[in-house]
Amino acid sequence: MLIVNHLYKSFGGVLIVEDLSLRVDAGEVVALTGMNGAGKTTTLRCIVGAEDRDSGDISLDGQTLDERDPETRRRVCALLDDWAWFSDMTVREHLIMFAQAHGVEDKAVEAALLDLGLIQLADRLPGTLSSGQTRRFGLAQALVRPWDVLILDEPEQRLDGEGREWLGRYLRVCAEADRSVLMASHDPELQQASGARVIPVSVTGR
Amino acid sequence: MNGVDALKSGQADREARSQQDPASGDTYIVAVGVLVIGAMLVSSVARGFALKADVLVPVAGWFPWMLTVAWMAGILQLCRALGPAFAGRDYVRWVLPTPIDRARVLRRNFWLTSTICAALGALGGVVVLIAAMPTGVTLTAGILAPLVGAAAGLALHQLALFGQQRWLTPGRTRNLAGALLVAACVLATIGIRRRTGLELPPPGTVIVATVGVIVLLIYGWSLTQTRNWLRRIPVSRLIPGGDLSAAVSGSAIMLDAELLTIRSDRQLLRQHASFAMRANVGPTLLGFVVRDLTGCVRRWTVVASRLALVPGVWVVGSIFGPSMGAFCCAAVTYVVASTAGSKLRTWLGSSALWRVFPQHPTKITVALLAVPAVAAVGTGLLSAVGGGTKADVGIAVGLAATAAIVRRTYRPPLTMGAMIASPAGPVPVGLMLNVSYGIDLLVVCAAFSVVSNGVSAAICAATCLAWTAYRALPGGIKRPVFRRARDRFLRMGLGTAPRRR
Repeated sequence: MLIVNHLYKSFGGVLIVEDLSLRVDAGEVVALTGMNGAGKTTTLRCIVGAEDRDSGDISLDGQTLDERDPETRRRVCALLDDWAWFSDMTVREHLIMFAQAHGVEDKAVEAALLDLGLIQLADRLPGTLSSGQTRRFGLAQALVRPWDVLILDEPEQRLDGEGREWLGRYLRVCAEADRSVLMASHDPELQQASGARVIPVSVTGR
Repeated sequence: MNGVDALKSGQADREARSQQDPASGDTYIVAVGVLVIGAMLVSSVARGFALKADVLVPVAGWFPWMLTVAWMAGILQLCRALGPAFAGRDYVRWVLPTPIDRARVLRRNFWLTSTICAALGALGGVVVLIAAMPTGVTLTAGILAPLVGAAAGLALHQLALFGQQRWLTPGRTRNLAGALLVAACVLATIGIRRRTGLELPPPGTVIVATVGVIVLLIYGWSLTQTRNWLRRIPVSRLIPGGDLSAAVSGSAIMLDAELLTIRSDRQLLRQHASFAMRANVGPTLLGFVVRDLTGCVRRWTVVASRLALVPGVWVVGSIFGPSMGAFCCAAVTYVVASTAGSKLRTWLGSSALWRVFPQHPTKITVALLAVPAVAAVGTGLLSAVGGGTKADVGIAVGLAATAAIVRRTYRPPLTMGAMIASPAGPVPVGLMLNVSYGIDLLVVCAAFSVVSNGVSAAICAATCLAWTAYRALPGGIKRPVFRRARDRFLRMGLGTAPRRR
C-alpha cells in the first residue's frame, strides 16, 4: 500500500503541491486528474524521487520510500516523461539489459515485444522510432521486470486507439494481480477501462 | 547473469562498437588541449611576473591569496555543477532505476571528476607559487606546490560530494568550504612564506597546523566512505551534472557554445518561471528599460559574478601595464555587457518579435540598448580607473563592448567555408568568422584606445555602436529611418537630393 501524507513541493517561491495526501491500496488503480499545472506530474516525480520534496511522508507498506534504497527500486516501476536511451543500443538490447539488471530471464523481453507489437522494431535503434512507438517501448519496461507499484505519467499520450485499449486492459489485469498503479491521466476512457479510482488535483500556484 | 554483469556486458558491447567512432580521439584532443592551455597559462604567468617583478611588490602580499581563493572557489563551483558524481539521462532511465549497486555505476564518472579536480588543483598550486615567488622558484617549493594544490582540489571534490548526497545542506557546504578555503590559504602561506623568509600571519603555526591535521583527517575518513556516499546520492542530483557534461562534450565536439547557451537559458527560464507576476510598467519605452533592469536585478548573482572579474583587471593592469589592462578591461566589459544585454540580444536576434510590439523597432532597440550600455560603460570606468588606466579608455571600451554584442546578433551562420593553410593546419574561414564576429570590433576599438587619445576612441566606439545598431535592424525598417534622417539633412540645406529615375 502506497501512502502519501501532507506532501508539499514548491519551485522558487511558487507552491506547486500543497498538502496532498493520497493512498493507493494493493490491487487498486488510482488516477490523478486535474488542469495543466495542477501538480500531477510533480507529485509523481516527488514520489519516485526524481524531485526532492519540501516536506511530507511517502511510504510503501509502512517503509519510507527512498529511491536510493535498492529494495524500493526493485518494487517501484516509474514511467515518467523524461525519456532517454542509449543511442547505440537496439530496442531489444535495452530491454534485455533492463531485465537482467532486475534478475529476469531474457524470455520476458520477447514476450513483452510481442505484447506491445514491437517485435518488428526490436533490432532498430530507439532514435529511429516514432513517438507512439517510443511510448510503447517505454511501457515495455514495466513488462520485463517485477514490480509492486507502477507509476505512470499520462501513459495514454501518443498511443493510438489500439494501444490505449491494450493499456486499459493491462492495468486492470495488474490490479487483479494485487499490484498497485498510480497514474496521472486526462483520458476518461483509460480511467474507465482500467477501473481507476479518480482523485482530482487542483491548481495551487501560490 | 546478475545486474552488474549485465550492465558491464552492455557497456563492453557499446565500447566495442564505438571503437570506430572518434570518441577516443575526442578524449585525446581534449587532453592535449588542456595540457597546452595549462602550459601556456603557467608560462605566461611566469614570464609576466618575471618581467614585472618590481611592479609586483605592492600587490605581492595580496595577489597569491586572491588567486588561491578564486582558484579554489572555481574548482568547488565546477564540482558542484558536475555533481561531482553524475549520470547521463540514458543511465538515469535505464540503469539507475534497477536494484544494482549505484556506487559501481557512478564511480567511473566520480573518479573522472576527482582527477580533473586534482589536475586543476595542481595547476592552481603552480600558478599561485609563481605569483608568490616571481623571482625564482626553489625545487622544494616547486615539488610541494602542485601536490598541495592537488590535495586541495581533491578535498574540495570530496566536500562537494557531501553536499550532493544530502549529508550537508547547501548552507553548511558553503560554510565548510569557507573554513577549508581559509585553512588551505593559511597552509599555502606557510609553505610559501617560509621559503621567502617572511613571518607567518596570525593566528600562528600551532592553530594552522591543527586545522591542517583536522582537514586531513576528515578527508581521509571521507575517502574510506566514498562508496557509501555514492550509494546515497539521490537520482534527482545526478541529472544536472549529466546534462552539463553532455552539453560540454557536445559543444566541444561541435566547436559551438550554443548547447551550453541553451542549457543556461533553460535554467534561467526555470528560475524565471518561479517568480511572481511582475508589476505592470506600461507599454512606454521607459517600461522596456525598467523590465530590462528588473531582469538584471533578478539575475543579480550572475551579474555579480561577472563584476567580480573587475579586480582581476586591476591586478593585470598593475602588473602588465595599462595596455594589457585595457584589453583585459575590454574582455570583462564585454562579458558584463553580454550578461546585461540578454534582452537586447534576443530582440535583435528574432524577427518574430519585431512584428509583435506596436512601437517602432528602432525605439525599442534604443530602449533595450540603455541597460547594457550603461552597465558596460560603468564596468569599463570601474576597471580602467581602478587599474590605473584613463577613464576615457573605460568609456571607449564600454561602448565598443556594447557594439560588439549588437554586432554578434547578425554574425554569419556557422559553416566551415573555405580553408586557409596555417602553421597549425587548415583553418576554416566560416568558423573563424562566426566565432570572431563582434569581438573583432571590440579588439580594434581597444587597440585604438591604447594607441590614440581616449576621447577620439570613445567617439569612434560610439559611432561603431550607432552603426552596428542600425545594421542590426531589418531592411524594411532601416530604409524609412535612413530616409527620415536624409530628409532632415536636406531640409537643413546640407547636401542635394538624389536624382529620381
